[in-house]
Amino acid sequence: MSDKPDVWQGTLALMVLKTLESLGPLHGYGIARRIEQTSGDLLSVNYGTLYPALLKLEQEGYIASEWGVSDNNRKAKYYKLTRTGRKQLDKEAREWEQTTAILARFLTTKEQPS
Amino acid sequence: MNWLRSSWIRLRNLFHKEQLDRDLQDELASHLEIHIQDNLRHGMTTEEARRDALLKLGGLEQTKESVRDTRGLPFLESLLQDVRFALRMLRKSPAFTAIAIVTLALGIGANTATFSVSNTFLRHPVSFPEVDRIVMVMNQAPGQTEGWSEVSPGDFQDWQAQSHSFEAVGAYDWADLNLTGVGDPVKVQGFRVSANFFDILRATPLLGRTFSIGEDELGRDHVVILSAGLWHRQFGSDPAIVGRTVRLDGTPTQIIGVMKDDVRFPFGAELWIPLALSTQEKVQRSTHYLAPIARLKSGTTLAQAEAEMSTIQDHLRTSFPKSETGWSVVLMPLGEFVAGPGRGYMILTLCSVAFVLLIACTNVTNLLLARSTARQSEFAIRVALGASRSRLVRQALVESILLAMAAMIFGLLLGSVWISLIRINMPPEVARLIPGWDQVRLDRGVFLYTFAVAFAAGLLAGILPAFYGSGCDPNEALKETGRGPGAGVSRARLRSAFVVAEVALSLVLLVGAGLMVKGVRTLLSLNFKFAPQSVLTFRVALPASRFATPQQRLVFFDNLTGQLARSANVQSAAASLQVPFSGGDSGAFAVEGQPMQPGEYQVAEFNQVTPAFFQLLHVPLVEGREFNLRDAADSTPVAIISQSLAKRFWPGRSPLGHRIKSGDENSTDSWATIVGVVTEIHYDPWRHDVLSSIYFPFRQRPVSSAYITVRTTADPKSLIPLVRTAVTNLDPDQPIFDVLPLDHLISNQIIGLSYVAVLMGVIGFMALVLSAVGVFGVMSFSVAQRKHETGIRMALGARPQDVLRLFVFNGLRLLALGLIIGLPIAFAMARLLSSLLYGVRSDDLVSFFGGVFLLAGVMVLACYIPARAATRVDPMIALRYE
Repeated sequence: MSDKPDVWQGTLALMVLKTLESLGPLHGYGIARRIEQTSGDLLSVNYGTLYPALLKLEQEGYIASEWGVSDNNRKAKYYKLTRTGRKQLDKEAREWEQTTAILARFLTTKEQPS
Repeated sequence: MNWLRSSWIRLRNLFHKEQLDRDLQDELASHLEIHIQDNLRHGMTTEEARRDALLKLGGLEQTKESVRDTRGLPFLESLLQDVRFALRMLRKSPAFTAIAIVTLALGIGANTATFSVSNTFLRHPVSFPEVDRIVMVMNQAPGQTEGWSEVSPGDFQDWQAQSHSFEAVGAYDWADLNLTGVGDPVKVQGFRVSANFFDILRATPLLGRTFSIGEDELGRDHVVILSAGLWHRQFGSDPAIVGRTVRLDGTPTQIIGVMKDDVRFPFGAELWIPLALSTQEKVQRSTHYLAPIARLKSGTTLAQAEAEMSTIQDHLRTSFPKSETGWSVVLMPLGEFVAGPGRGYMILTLCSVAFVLLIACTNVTNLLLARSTARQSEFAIRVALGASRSRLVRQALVESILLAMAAMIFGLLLGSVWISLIRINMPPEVARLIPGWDQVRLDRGVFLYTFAVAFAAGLLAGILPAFYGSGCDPNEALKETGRGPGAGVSRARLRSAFVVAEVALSLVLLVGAGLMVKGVRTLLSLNFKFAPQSVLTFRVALPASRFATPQQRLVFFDNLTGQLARSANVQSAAASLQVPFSGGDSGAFAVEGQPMQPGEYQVAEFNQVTPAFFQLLHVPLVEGREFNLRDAADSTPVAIISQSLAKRFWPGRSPLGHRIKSGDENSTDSWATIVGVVTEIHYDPWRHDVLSSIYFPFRQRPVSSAYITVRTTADPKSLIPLVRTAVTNLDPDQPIFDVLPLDHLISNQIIGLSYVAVLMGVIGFMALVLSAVGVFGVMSFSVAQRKHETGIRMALGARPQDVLRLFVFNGLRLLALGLIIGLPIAFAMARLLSSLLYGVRSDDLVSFFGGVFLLAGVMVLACYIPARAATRVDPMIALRYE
């Protein structure tokens, strides 16, 4: 068993959207690798959990998929961000920042015993 | 939005699974390939690269499974699986399936048919826009606690002027009219209505217009609106009818409109004329004959309007204590008003068929329970393989609901046959008078109701077996052979509870059926003493225009009855205002020397009769004399009263010589001396008590609309040409109507009650058969289950009669418990019935004992037959089973 934390549900979707925004169309394996690398190999994606998440994002219309050919001339399914996906990413990123900012303030505030 | 979109995609995905599966397979394959390539580049061996890629993916099949769950609707898919499996299981045991479906179909069909009839009566006997805002504003007479009385014109005027809860207040009044000037003269059922009447209903005409303000004033009121029915029948649907002039009771009247076909209010209305009240009428408060109708303002509730009207009535009571004391106002939604006394019966039959369905459900539950016992190892295996309890429960429920849905289809068929039977057997002259009769059919509402009932029945029948079946411990169940001594103690108890419930429900229905049938038979036998099968009745309504004076009317009826009485095959002929079961014409009366207290209200049926009336109907004279030809306009006014009235006012004394009159003491009617006492006649079949009657001589108070009764030695119908000729000879313009043998008239009047009686009989029979089958099933099952035990008992020396006694006693105990529970419910039902129907008493021991004995007899048989089978158990064979 790996001692690296699993990517928890919800943030995975956000990471996928962000990855697709910065790198453009990617196949599933590429997305998984990218998330691993960005986290400095601190996060380990169980690659299998990525596919339901991708399907869900596609059903919600945030990403679209298309069969294409990889750099090594292999057939692969490519995912790309849609326009609503871009909006959703902005929105979720903002919310996430807010949440972390609040939490950060919360955790740094020193208790003042009265 | 997103949620909708993804649900839609998921639903769509259910239909091209294979392609999606292939797609997924390809995608994962390409994922692995790329990963392996990547790994190889990082210097792994082929073997390592492959292993690492698969490991990182976290299992190929698991990934596929979780993608599939996201892709489709897992709940729906497994439900479909359940349905397919259930269908397979049901097909595998066709006998069980057939019995369960037939049982449920009987219950559901009875509910469908009864609901479709009741629904029309209870929910929409009338249909107008926002019909629930239309209310009848009626009086209740002093001492009257249920129902309503008509309203005096004086009160109506004040209510109209003072109330603010309504958009408008109108009123109507009955008017029998003779229509001439087009085709044969006919008698039509008309209504006098206020000018705003159709605005209140929001009814629009098919042709022409409705009444305009001011047309309900005397002098301007010679206008008429025809019903669509009359327009078709009498005017050949003439599109240019508006503007034509016809004669109503001889008065030239202009046709201003034709109503749409669906405007059938008040019931039986063939035409409407304006209600023009004279100046004297407008302040008249002692005679009640108007039916006010109003539409609630939007935002005003019925309760608010009731409060306002009751305040107004309080003021009126202070201003006019003599005429208003004790009178109160009652508001009724139009639908309820129209459904009238039929309502109680409809609720009664609806409850009864619901009981039948409960019995049917119990039987099916029993069957399912027995089956789930047999299928215990199947369930155990599924649990052992990891099926969750909720999945098993769902599986079982899907089975029972499927059964119910199949039963629903048969139930609907059964219901529609039932409905057409009722429709065929309803005489048209009665159907015309039943509100909403033409709307009785299998419509959307009935369909939805049937569906809901079937679904509920499936759930109800399946829920207990589902929990019992799924609640097993796989270890125990797989080990147990299902015949061990401790097997299913709680199940046996449950089955006993079913027997008790079935007995209780059946008892209620049997007693109900008994009471209802008995009540209707009483009504019929009550009328058989009149020997109505050899009496022909018909009605004549003399128009005021041609028969203005009492003398003219008298001469007509005298001549008519005289001529008829002299005809061949005729024994006697009489004219009267009422005949038995014609509906009644009750009103207030006063007794000289016994003044009514303010707030007291005494009513009796009034009837004006010619001297031949009592003999013709075989009504015996108890005391005094009958009317004779000397009781005429110029002699002392006389009256004959019925026994109950004599007993009430002159207990133990003779009423002869005392005086009585119609209306209150101050009414302008003259006092009439009582000269005779006769036995009761029942005039209004819908009353559960019989009103006393007061008779006046026809010659002293000739009415314009009368029944003519003719007693004949021949078939009454053969007299019809004769009576037509007799009337035409006297006046060629005079129509006659409702020409019927008296026994038909009587049975038409109580056909609704007969219907209820037949229905209750059928329901009682169904209940008896269903519960007998159910009890038989339970007993047979318990005998089969205890075969081993019986074998041991017999091996230890028990004789067959001991075994028989064991099983029969067990059944009898349950029977007794069921009867004890059922009796109080049956009694409550009897109370309800006795408040509805004459001749039904809640302490009717015959019906109760009859029900108990019949049920007990059948149940003992249902226990005895399986118990007999137990005695034939061969201990050797039973024990070898182990």
